[in-house]
Amino acid sequence: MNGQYVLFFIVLLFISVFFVLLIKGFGRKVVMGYLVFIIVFQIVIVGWVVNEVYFIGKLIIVMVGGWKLLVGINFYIGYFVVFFVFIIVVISFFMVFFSFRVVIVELVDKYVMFFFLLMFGVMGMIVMGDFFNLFVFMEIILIIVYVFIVYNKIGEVVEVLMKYIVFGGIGLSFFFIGVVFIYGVIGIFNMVYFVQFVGVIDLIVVQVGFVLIIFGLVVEVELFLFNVWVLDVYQVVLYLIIVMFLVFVVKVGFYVIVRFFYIFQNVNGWSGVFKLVIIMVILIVVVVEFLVLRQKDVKRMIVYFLISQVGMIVFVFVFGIQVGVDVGVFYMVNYVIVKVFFFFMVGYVGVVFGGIIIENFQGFGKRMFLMVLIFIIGFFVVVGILFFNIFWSKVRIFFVGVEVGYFWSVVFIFGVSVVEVVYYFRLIYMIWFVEGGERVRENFVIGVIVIFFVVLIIVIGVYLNDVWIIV
Amino acid sequence: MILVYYFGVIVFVFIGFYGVFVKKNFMKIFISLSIMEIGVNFFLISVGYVLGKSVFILSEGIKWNQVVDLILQVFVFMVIVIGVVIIVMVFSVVILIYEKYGIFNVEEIRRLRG
Repeated sequence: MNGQYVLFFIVLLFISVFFVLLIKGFGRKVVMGYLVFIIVFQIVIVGWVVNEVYFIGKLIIVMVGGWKLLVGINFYIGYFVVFFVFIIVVISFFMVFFSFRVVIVELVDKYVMFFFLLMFGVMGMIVMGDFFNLFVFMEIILIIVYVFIVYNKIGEVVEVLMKYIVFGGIGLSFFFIGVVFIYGVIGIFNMVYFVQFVGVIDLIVVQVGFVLIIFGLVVEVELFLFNVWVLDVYQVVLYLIIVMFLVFVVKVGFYVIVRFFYIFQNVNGWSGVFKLVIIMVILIVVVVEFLVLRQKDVKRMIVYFLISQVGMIVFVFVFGIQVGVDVGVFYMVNYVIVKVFFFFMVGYVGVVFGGIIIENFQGFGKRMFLMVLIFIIGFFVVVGILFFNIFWSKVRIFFVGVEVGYFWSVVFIFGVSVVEVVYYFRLIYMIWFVEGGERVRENFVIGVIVIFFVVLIIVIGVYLNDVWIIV
Repeated sequence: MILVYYFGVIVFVFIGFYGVFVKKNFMKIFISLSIMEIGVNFFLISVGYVLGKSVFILSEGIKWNQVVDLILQVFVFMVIVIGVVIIVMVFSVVILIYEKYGIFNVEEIRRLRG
């Protein structure tokens, strides 16, 4: 098949938005059915690409419209890209089914349109081979994020939106200034060409450009310490949209940041930036872990946990060694599974009990036995006391840190992560040993999805080596 | 000469920063963001500018090798369009807030959280 079919990654999602306008008159079920159809179609395309890249071993480079590299837009589909695209499409498939239950009172046609547009932006950012269009797709994602934050809400959400817009705007401006800095030196936007030139250019401008780009990206990937405003976003928006943000927006920002680390690692003066990043990551993990202690809101607590996990992933990736990449990718797979599992769970509890502050969880164990059992397994996974995936991931991170001679930083990170154990056990006490209300009937579909995730976590924990090889 | 442009860029970006972090009025904050964006666009054009060369509209007596960097000037159009989309969206939210609560002040909005 022609490599140009990869364009469907992007084009299909974009064109689908317009058809929603045509079919919305037929009712909610038709629109949701359409959403399922398009996502399944997307999975088929991704399946074909996975086959081409992983099994046949053919890397796909698409020159859009046949234009040459320096002028035209090009997509690069390698192993790493396919891996990310695959994760995003699979998670979006699950999210579609969750949407059936969650998006009831909201305007479903607008939800579907923005869902497509968000995926469009994410796919574009992943496959794009030049700096400028990366920026364009980043802008598109941010616009959709703004829309989703105020989706069918007004009031407290407004303040959160304003924060997001201000920080997003500043982050994007820095990113773009960084890109232009680099263009000023190299004279091209294409990343492949950039890698070829960057080793021979000894200019402070490239370093400044790199720092500005990374600054812009970490605002999007929600990594900086002053980026805790994002927690307010998670506090007010729909649960489903949180999952969407975490899976799509953070994930893709994270992907781009890793890609940039590898593009820029030949820049002179890289070691200084590298140390700065390591210190930043340690600070993030330390501060975030202590912030977990004073949380009363379970959702907020999990978000803090996830932020510290992103810190750990960046920690192994920036070493720039093969083992680091392997461990980082493995950890990321686990991270996606655990976080989606958590937000589905907490989201469901929030819908049933009307809140997710710690008091809402009183006697939860007796009210929804199955859910609680799964919830507790989730907590053990998070704490890393059972031999599940997070535990093994952390062990591997530890060894990578030791291998590259950063033993002190590894000890620091893992020493502090013990702090979170205190909070989780407090929550488990609340769930099991405090009396609650009447027993509640559990939802079958949500139960099946959550059990699927638990099984996945256990399988990864048990068949670790096989999963490691696949990843 | 080109340094003057870069100085202009810095001035625009810092005015924008000042507005975003100091002002309390929504409208002023977002106007400041727009000013910052103008600074970024200006930077883009400045980087592509070549001293003594013409704009990329080919007129009589001007050839392709006598014009400034085309790519950056074309990209500025794209950035402006995206910027306009964001500004329109933001201001529509601001108008909604004003219609519902009758306020523009950030601190008063914060009180809505209770």
